[in-house]
Amino acid sequence: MTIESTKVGKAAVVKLIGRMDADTSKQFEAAWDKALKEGSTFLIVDLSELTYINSAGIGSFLRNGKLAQEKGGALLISGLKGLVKEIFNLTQLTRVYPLFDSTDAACQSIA
Amino acid sequence: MANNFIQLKLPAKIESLREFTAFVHNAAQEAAFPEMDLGRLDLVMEEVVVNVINYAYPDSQPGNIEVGYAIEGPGKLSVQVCDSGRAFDPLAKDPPDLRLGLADRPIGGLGIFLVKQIARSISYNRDGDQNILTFCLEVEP
Repeated sequence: MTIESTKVGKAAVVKLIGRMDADTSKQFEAAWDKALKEGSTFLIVDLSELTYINSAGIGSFLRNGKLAQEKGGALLISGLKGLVKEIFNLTQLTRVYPLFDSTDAACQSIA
Repeated sequence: MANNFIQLKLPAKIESLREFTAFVHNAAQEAAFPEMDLGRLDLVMEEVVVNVINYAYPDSQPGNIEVGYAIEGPGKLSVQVCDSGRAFDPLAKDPPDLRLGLADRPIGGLGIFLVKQIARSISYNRDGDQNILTFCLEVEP
């Protein structure tokens, strides 16, 4: 999995590319830990190029979302599709996190 | 393990995971599984095999895992995962409470839940000293 991170105001925008499993989910956690230290409170995750996720990856989404909430922020999702959308639906993360069609729309929602 | 299953036996270690998933993934490709269903199969295999690696054998008594598959027809694959570890039925676990808010939701405990949701059928048997988990994945017509 590749991670592309940018900062937009108080949000870290993280694009996940490839497959998220037990190993690569740790990269996602580390990226959010780093952004939190740098002062971000909102985490916008672009999933438009994530093709696979397992329960370890879902666990990382729960962990990162909880940390964002504890800081008074939130985790927001954009570009959910395919198998990853199915797994988010089955685990009802779609009920937990706000969903957006694009990262721009997600950024605007917290501006 | 059922006689008609093509089998692979490896140590119950995390290093074996990739080989097990590739073994069954290749069979599913042969059975004309589309990309999305290959992903579903990868997920089920990872969750089931990691579960056995983590819980079947005590550290002092390492053992093996045997994975077998049978192509039942185009888009239909049966898989068995066997170990000789302690008796453990992963399907007996209570389902997670998905209605909880984020702050109250536990981080783990979703692996076998996902397996049960994705597999067309799944069953557990204890046969002698073996745990045998059998599941079937079938491509939607």
